[in-house]
Amino acid sequence: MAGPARRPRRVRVLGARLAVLALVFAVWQLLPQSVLPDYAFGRPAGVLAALVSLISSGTAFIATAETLRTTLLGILVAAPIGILVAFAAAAAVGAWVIEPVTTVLYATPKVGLISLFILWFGLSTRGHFALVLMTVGPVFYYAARQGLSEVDPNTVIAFRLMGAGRLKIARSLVIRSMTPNLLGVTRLAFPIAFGATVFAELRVPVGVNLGALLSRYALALDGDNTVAIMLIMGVVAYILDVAISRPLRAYAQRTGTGIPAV
Amino acid sequence: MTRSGRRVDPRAAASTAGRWLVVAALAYAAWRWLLAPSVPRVFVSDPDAVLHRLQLWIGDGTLLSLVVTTLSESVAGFVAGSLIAIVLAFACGLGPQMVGELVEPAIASLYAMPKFAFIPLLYVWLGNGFVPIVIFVALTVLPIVFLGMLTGLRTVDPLRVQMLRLFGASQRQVASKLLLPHGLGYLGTSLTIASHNSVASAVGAEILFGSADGLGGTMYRAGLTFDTASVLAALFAATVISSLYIRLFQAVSRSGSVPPARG
Repeated sequence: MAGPARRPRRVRVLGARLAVLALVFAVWQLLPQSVLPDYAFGRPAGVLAALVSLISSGTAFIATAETLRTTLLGILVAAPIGILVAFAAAAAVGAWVIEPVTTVLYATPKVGLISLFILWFGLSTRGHFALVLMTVGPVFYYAARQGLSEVDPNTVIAFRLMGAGRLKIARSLVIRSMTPNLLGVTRLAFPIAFGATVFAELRVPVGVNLGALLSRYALALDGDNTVAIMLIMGVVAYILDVAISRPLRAYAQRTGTGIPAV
Repeated sequence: MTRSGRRVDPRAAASTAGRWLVVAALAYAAWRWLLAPSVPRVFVSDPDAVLHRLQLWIGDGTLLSLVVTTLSESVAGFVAGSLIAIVLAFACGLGPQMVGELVEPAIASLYAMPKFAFIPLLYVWLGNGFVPIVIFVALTVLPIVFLGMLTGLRTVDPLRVQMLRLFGASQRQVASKLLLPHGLGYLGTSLTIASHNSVASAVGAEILFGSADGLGGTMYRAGLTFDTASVLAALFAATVISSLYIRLFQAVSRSGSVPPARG
């Protein structure tokens, strides 16, 4: 019923979006050098040629793979550490010491740590990984901590009275309470980790990765390739978001769990 | 009683302060007597050296100058980005639907994009200085505030809107009596998140621009000369500013002027 009525509207929206995009490209192509210099922004035709060259030579894939490897590795290591620290902080003594530390860590501009990582690890990709770890770890910590705090103490007492052991309580209550938060934060963690990786790669441009390529092309005043790399980053960020949010949303619908931020 | 009506328990406040002092003392002791002696000074400086550097900076006014530079960049970018975001959110939330259909995907793409990727472009285009850093901070703040405000405008109970209309309220009255107060709660939350981001963005931009001034610029230059004490002192100052920012916006969010977001 609503199909035919909605279709013209969808077509109109798509048409308007394409028209705006075409206008942007036209302005970008035609504006004089004094406003949009080639060495900074390139021109649409040049950017397209640069994109084709980066893709056909395989450089785009190699650089994307390297950047994503650091991002994923950082998340895979940071998540369990964040969760373990949250468990430690759930204990009375742990909370006493850990909470002030995590509060300070939350407020610390993590990007500032890169200067220390350069001193510690030199100009190597280990600094990239360390920055991702420090940026994403607190995110998982806070999600796990929130999940733990949502466990109803009365239900825990009821489980104990019914003879449930620690493992049973952990499986039936604690993990169930933490799961929606952790899955929800996983979606948030990816763009944060990706951003941290790019920052670290820009500051320490070693290896063949998106940040290092962007840094090199910008310094060489190659506007076409600079913008092409930025477009690749945008596409990668979008694909990452879709690839993570879709299965999470499906999981939320299947299990009936309200996953925050999904 | 605070302005928001929350009662402050003096014993709890004293206990929290005591806990922070003990943890700070423990951290200092571990750093001073366990970590510092076993690691070369280039990697981890002595805590006393960091405190001494801070003392020097406070004495000769360096700290104030660094803080003012970073703070002015972050505040200018934060204000500019927030204002643009609020105007755009109002245009998308209250204006014709087509405006939202065109603007939202662009801002959503900006939100997903790693913002630091804009730095090389800004550097090549505008050079190094106050303006490109402010533009960069505004770029990082804009999508956060826009999406928060728009969510606020769009999550109003439609039954309430209908009820107001039934009572004869005009579009402007619906906006000012219902949509705006509801949206302000979300705005408070998004401003709190964006405020923290704006400090980190300003520091990060100074590092990538290789600025001669500001806390990030100091971290950058001190890193080049293996001056770990200065790196840590600047990082400490940046953390203090960031904490104050977060506290300020949390307090504003809690106060009556901007009700906290619900749901």
